[in-house]
Amino acid sequence: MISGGKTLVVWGALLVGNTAIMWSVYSPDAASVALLGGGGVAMILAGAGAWFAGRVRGIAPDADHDRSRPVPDLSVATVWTALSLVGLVLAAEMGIWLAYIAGGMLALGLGGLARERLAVRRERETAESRRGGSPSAEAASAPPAREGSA
Amino acid sequence: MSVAAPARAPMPSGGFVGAAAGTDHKRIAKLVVITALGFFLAGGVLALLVRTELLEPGMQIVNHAGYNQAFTMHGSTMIYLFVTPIALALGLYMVPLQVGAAEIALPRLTLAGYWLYVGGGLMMWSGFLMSHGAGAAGWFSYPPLSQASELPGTGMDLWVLAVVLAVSAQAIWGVALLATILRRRAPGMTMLRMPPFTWGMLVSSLLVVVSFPVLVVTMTLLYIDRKAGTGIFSGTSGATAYQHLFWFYGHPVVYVMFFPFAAVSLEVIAAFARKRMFGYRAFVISMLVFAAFSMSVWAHHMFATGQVDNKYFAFTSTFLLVPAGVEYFDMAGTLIGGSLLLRTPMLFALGFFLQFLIGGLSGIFIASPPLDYHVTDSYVIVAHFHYTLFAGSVFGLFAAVYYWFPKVTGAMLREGLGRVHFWLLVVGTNVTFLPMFVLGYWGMPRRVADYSAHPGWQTLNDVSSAGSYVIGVAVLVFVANVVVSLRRRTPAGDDPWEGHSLEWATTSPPPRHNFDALPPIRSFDPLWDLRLRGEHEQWRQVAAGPPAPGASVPPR
Repeated sequence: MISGGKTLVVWGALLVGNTAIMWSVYSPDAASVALLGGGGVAMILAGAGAWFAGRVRGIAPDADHDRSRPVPDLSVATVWTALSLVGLVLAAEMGIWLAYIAGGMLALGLGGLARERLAVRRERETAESRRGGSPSAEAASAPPAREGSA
Repeated sequence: MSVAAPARAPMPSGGFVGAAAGTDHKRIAKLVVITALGFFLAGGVLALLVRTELLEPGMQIVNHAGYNQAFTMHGSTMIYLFVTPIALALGLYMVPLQVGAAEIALPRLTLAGYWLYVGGGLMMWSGFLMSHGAGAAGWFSYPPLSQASELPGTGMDLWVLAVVLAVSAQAIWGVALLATILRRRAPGMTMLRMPPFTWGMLVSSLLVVVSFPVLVVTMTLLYIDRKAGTGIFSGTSGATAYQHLFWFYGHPVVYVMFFPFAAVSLEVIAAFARKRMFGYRAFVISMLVFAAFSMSVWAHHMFATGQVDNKYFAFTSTFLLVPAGVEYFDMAGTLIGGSLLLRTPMLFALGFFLQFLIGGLSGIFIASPPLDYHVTDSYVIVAHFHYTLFAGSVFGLFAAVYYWFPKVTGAMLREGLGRVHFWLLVVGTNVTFLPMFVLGYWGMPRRVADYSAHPGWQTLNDVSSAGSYVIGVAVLVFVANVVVSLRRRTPAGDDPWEGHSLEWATTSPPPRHNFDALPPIRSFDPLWDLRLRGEHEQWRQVAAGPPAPGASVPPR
């Protein structure tokens, strides 16, 4: 299975290839070369970073699929945090008073997300112990897994 | 909290909070689709306002400033708040199902994206409540027109901030889709077994992650320019730099609004031709080439500036004909020898390909700098991009809506109303946009609230406006169809069209974690394979009951 990192590298290489054609055959302006080439290089770096990180942690490309992931069905904290960000952006126009309110809301939202994360971790440990064996024993025998969405 | 829950676990309801804060990808996608369709209706009303104003020379309904706001908000709503979000939303719903995943990657970020998008949309439209009115510098907002010295007021500021929020949200969805496609595919679902629509979403996501952040940065700089007078986009070099940055987003986004609809139209045509899609591998290669070159054509919007290398951008823009042609060959090859079933989704899919052809062919002409010099800023350009984005993408969208509505809701849309909708839309679209080619050729400039009484101009404008009213009626028929079909439901069953890909292997609507069991995945058409082998009924029985020993049931 093709990994995400390699896909981004190939995509970046295609963009860099296009830039090379532009540069070698035509007479482009600097902005055109910088935009297209810069986009390609950024993708190559991002892809190489993701691929290298996966290699370091010994992750199989398709390791994500079978991993059980505790996922909150509802995430009010996410909505709260997003609306706080909207408030912060709006504060640029409406004034500092809204920035204070939205900043406070954002702190609450981030706190809620942290609380959700703890609950997810507890749930995962409970689920693993229900499947038999302690979480640590399971972790030792299970294939290494990527970061989950939870 | 659900931990590796059985797929048939009931969808938690939770009332309003459940609808607003649910992390299930299907719920988020439905929210985006409903919101985007709401913006579509609002943007459509502005289009009717514009067309009514142009019925005759002189100002009848709005003043010049009001007209500028109307066409700016029409374009902005359609691009930032309707077509792009709804294209990505189709992916948010269908991609996890098509690749056999239990959920989308990054579900909470995806949910956050929805609220950023809604916040951005409301912010953009709240400009109408401000003293100077809403944004009025066009959906592209070139400086110097978009600078505070030319267009002061909170409404334009809100427009810039709204674009930052809406496009950020879409960038987030692009990342989530990319991660889902690359990391969450079911065992056996190799890249070359992904359905065409998933490929369409993959290449669209690749465009999104490269180009959308550029616009977010550009709009942030424009906002700083407006508020602090930094002069980032001042002078010729500043204005050219802005156009480079804007079109580095602005042209790839056209393909984000094309690839998903082209791909779903191919899937629909294959399903309703009762055969496997022709030329799958050629399609995949053409999509990748198409995507790579579509990142390299942005400066054809700047031919007339004299600040770019026209030859390169004319070459890349014309070269796009090759991968586009491959997709048309695939469509034709799929149709040839098929047992065609002309149901509403098929009509819209065929309408997409035939009408997009007009937009695509006119694109070849204006990819040539000398011809572009002649028609730039005229109604030829308006006709060209409406043939690609409305006559093309919106028809592809309706093909997707009619095709997947049974899967999403469990109910069929009315076939009769669907046909009325289709034919009204065909008539309305062509009556509206074909005269614009002639108007542009005769020299009528675009973005004008008034026009002089040249012979023939008013007649063609009247025809065009009449067509826009027909489009309005067609959209009302669609709304009526949705309402009637949801109130008096005709149960759809799990697979009413005998679809080919994995979304048809689960219930309608799908449960929280999408699948109880997956069929063997041997190609990009796993359900078609089952039918060919005569194993389909056997599989349905396995999927409906408890998993049989030895069945291909992934542990969840």
